[in-house]
Amino acid sequence: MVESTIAVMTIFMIIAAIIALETTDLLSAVISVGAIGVAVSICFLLVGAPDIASTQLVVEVLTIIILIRATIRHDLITIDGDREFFGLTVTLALLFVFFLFGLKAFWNLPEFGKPAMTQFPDCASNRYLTKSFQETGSRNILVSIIFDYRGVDTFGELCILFAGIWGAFAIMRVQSRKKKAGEKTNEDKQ
Amino acid sequence: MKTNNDKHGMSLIVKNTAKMVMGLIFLFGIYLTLYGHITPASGFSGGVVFACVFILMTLAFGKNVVLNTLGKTTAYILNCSAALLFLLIANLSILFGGKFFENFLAKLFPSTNHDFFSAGCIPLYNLVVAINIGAGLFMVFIILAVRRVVEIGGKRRLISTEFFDTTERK
Repeated sequence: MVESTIAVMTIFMIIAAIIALETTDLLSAVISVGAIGVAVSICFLLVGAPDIASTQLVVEVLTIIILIRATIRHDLITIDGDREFFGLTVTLALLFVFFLFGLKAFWNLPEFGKPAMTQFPDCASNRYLTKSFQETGSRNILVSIIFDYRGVDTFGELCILFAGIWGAFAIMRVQSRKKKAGEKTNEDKQ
Repeated sequence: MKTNNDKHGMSLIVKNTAKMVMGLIFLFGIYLTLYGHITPASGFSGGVVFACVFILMTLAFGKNVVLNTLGKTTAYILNCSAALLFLLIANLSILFGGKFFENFLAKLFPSTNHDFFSAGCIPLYNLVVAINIGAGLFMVFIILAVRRVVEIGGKRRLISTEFFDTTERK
């Protein structure tokens, strides 16, 4: 069941990616990219990771808003009049489908008051709690997880932060690099 | 550090209080970073505290003091070299016969007590991450603090006030 749904989602993602590449309308391309993100979110829900699914959904919505605001400022068509019946129905139906997937994911979670480590003795959290001091020598379990067990994850996080800071720095720079030292700077323009 | 009679920055009370508090906050950041593997802290929180010291300095004394103390170029170098050092420490374990991101120092010098020098590579990672985060946040803050929108001849323009002062020009 889960594998077949993930396969359907993968085909849907491939089709949406092809549409996003081939279409000439920028708005449709951005919306296709958003559809890919929603499908990835549904896949995360199916494999039992609701936290990552919600993060993915929030990032996707933010990305769509930023992309629409930033790239297609010029050919954005405003819609006048009432909402179309067909569009509203499709939106509500898709929201209901997403709600069903979320419901299924939350039913698979362990019951309140009975964490997973009491049900499965060989799961990862048991190992963190019992063996992290012997294996890493760090009394702080959180640090031993983020720098030892999941160090590559932290490395990716740092890379994202580094790239984000340098991107913001490059965008916010007032003087351009191409000007020579003797030419006019902002100081001289006034 | 400039004198208290300097025109830039906030009032005398704020400057004196900031002078007293700044060192203690910096010391707290060092504590959070170096004792991250024993007490509840890590390099991330230590780095944010480091950046907060320089943000406090900017707010209290004006931007020129900070640009002279920890310049933008120093922040660049610290940020880039810390990110590279993190990767270097992660790769060093391959030289010692382990896997990528393996804690090789903990295997060479096993320690099961609460010593300061324990836990292998984790204190090094803490230190490097603190430098990276602190320098990065400081860079973002200083580039936001330096830019101004000034009206010049009826037009609003975005200028950088890094090398001169707008208040004297008006």
